[in-house]
Amino acid sequence: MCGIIGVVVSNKSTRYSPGSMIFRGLLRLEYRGYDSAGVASICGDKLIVLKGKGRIIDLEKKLGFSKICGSVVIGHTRWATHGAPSDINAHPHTDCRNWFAVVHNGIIQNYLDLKKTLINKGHVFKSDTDTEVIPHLVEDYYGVLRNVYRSFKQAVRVLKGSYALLLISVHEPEKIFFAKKDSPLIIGLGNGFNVLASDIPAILEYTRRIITVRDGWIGYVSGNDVYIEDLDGNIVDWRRYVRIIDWSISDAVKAGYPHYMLKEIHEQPRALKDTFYGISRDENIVRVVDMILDAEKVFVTGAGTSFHASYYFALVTNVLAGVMVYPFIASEFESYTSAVGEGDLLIVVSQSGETMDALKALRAFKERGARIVAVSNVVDSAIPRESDIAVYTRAGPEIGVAATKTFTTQTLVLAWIAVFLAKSCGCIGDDEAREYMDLLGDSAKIVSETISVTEYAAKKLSEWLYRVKSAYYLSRWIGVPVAMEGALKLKEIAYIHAESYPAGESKHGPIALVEEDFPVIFIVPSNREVEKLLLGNIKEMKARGAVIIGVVPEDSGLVDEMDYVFSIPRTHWLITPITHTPPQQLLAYYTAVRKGLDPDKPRNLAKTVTVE
Amino acid sequence: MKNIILAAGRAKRELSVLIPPGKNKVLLRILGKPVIYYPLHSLQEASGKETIIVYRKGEEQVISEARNYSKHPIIPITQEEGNTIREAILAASKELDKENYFFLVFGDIVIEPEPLIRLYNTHLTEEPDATILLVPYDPEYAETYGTATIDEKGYLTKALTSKSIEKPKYIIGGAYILPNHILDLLEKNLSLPEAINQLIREGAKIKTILWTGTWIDIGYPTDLLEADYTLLSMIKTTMISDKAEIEPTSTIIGPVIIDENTYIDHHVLIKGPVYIGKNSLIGAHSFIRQYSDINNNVRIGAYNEVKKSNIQPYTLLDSYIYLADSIIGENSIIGAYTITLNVLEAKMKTPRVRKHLVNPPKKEIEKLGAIIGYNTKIGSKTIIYPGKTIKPETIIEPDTVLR
Repeated sequence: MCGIIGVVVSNKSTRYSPGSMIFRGLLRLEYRGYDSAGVASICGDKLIVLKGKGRIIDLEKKLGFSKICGSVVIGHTRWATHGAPSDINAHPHTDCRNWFAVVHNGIIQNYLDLKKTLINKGHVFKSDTDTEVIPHLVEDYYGVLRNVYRSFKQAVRVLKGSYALLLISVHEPEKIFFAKKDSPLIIGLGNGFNVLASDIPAILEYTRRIITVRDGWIGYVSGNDVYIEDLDGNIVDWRRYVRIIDWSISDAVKAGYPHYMLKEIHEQPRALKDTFYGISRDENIVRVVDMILDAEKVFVTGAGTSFHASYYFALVTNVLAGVMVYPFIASEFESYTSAVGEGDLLIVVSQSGETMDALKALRAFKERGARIVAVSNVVDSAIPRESDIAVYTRAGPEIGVAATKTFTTQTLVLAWIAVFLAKSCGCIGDDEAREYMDLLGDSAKIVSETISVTEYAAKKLSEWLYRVKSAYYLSRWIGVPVAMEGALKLKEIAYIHAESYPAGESKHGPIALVEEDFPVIFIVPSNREVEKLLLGNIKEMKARGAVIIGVVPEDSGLVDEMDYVFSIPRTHWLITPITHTPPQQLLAYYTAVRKGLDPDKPRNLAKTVTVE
Repeated sequence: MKNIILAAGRAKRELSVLIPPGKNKVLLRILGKPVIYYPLHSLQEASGKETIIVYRKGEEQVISEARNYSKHPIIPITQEEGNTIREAILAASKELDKENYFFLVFGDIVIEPEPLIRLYNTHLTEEPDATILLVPYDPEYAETYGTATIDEKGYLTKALTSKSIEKPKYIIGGAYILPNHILDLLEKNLSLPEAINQLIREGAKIKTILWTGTWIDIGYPTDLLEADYTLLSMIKTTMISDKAEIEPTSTIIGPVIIDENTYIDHHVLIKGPVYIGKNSLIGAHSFIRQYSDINNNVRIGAYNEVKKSNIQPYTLLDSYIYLADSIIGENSIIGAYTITLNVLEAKMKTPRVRKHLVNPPKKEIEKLGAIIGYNTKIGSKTIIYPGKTIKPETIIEPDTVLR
């Protein structure tokens, strides 16, 4: 996902300069991606491009987007899914003569063919992106047609794939040309200016009169006019499509949900599906597995939620593959470094890829000769960059501070690696491996089921839970990291003191706190042996008056022992984090909302912790 | 896009005991306002335009009440035929001719503006072929609703009917933005869910909005208690009309709303959240407890205790009455020393008593008092067992035990 924006001003008396409108609009679009950004304008008779890798706010300091000259400006913010974000790959892209600049959201499927043809014609490409073919293509047609709009139209005609495109040209410096297919684009109509953007929030500050561009539409806008043609070349009476938007910016980006956190919880099926699609085609997985098999010692680390995913990975590799993996909390790396040497391997799990504690652990291990594998959600962020190899979750940008979809996707990636590892070392047969892979492939469907069957139960339990001061989360075996994640969610979002323990450990101290009506949440993985063991722990807690809440497979005998049940589909224990985490996320979310808190902005917390 | 509210539905048998002839369930009172006020107000907040109201002939009060609360013109349409939603929508179809879409909301759901605003905005932004509201699926409470399944991108995959074999995932929340050409499908005798499924089969993208806040469908009498509980929970401050008269020895612990021309006698104790409507009276030494909704023109005599009950207009409580978790239809009289029992035994499963976790889940008790029909007279010293429904226009002899 990327964000694009364009501003064209005919009247110099607007409140904002085009540059600052673009800059502020890009900030609003940052939720669509933020690994690189750029702007282009026509200044006098010259095309100016400012672009680079990094956050928009940093680039603004470095390059001064908001101060760019000219009255026709386009901008782009990028979220790389293939290829690295870099200064060169950042949009806008230009042609050989610097006549045309293009920003693009989408994927051009036939760009390799087009690129080959254009190179043969003598065009020189600067980047690895699909987008760059577009300005060259327009340049090519312009050589023949000598008309920007006709050349643009001709170029768009040969593109295959999805796109929302903006193009500016020194030959017609008062217009922005646009085309749209399958990627979002809207036009905002102002007084003496017009704007184009991927999404409404980017322009709401300037105008509330908008047109949603339909698939196949192509045309241009100037400061005081709009021209649109449809797929068949008919002129579109755009006035019929103008609407007034009367809602706030923050509502706009949440796609109908009251909070990002709830949106992201509900996005998990999609995030898992995309991640599965990514890893099942990722050649790096095999290399990672080989690295694990070659390593003398294997460590895995992360901070917060990513540590829980790391811990899960250590357990799974142990159970499935008999490979010992040492999990540790990233900030504690110094306790482990003296045991590390050449031939060892460290797997670093970090959603943002920028977590300072994890980065420091990585550097310390690297210094001692260990090889590094990164698992991250942000392509080519610091941790993947400094690693020998990286695999990615494809959860998309996560705005809510509490990790939700990134946790379940991390565990999916790690489970996938563990299954391959077990297969490679011969610990499981091909059939069993196939079975696990199918299971992981089905996780999107399973999680969608889990969310819908537990959502109401979470909401209802929150009516009581919001009044409690503390809670325990207990589990055993593969459920322990999941319980840890549940406790973390309740703490960070609902501000309720919550601790997690392996259930067997509870009688060695924690049980002293359990009194009448103390909530104890049991995470019961789908495994009959573990269920049997947990029964004893449940009885212990019950005898002391605890309120027993369970996240339990629907057909488990333990259901009868519970005071309150989140009943989830029975599947395989391997995907416990994927099946058992969403109810806990929902419980924390609804409890926070019931307390009148904003789950998207928990106090004292930042999304990415880039300090020690 | 035109607004439509459907207000011609027939009440279920259980609820009909509260609805006198010539009235409709959308006229039942919640916090002094008719039920239809809630969807109408919310719809007009989302899409401030004239609103078509489909009502039933003979129930013109629906229109006059709607006009009392509407900021925009009301177009009344009578539903001449049938009882179905399909027929109700078709009744309005001649008003919909020139539009691409219509915004349909059921008249009997208590809903805030926010979900409808989100529905409307999402429809305008994403421009799907239709947009519908979903609420979380509550298995205990859902058997009477339409339900649906969705895909991982939040698009509707199927609207389920009672005959469907799929497991439902969400409840359809009675608010839709639908394309006009669905009218053609309805004309062909498809029900609304069938017509929606037909749209999906024809390739339509139906976006869904998930609403997790207040949403109460008024289908059973207990839903009035649920609505009272929810709406009263949202009241944060005490508001007492200048025109209400409160004796100095009474005690009010907020939040409490007391409307105009209401008189609170000496030594009354009111513990909020409580609503007391217009032109009402609370007699000396009465105790009005949390989540009570006492509507307009109600008289409560001396030494009464009222808890978590909904009292419809023009009803009279004598003295020394204990009324808990109960609903009383309009224009009834409850004799002195009448007691409602309210702890349900586990085996007594009354439809849709929503449990609220006031206590920890293990200490949950279900409570429900009496459901007393309109124009009923209950003689003194009557004892009414939990969950008992008393038919309208009944006269109960004094000293009766109603099991």
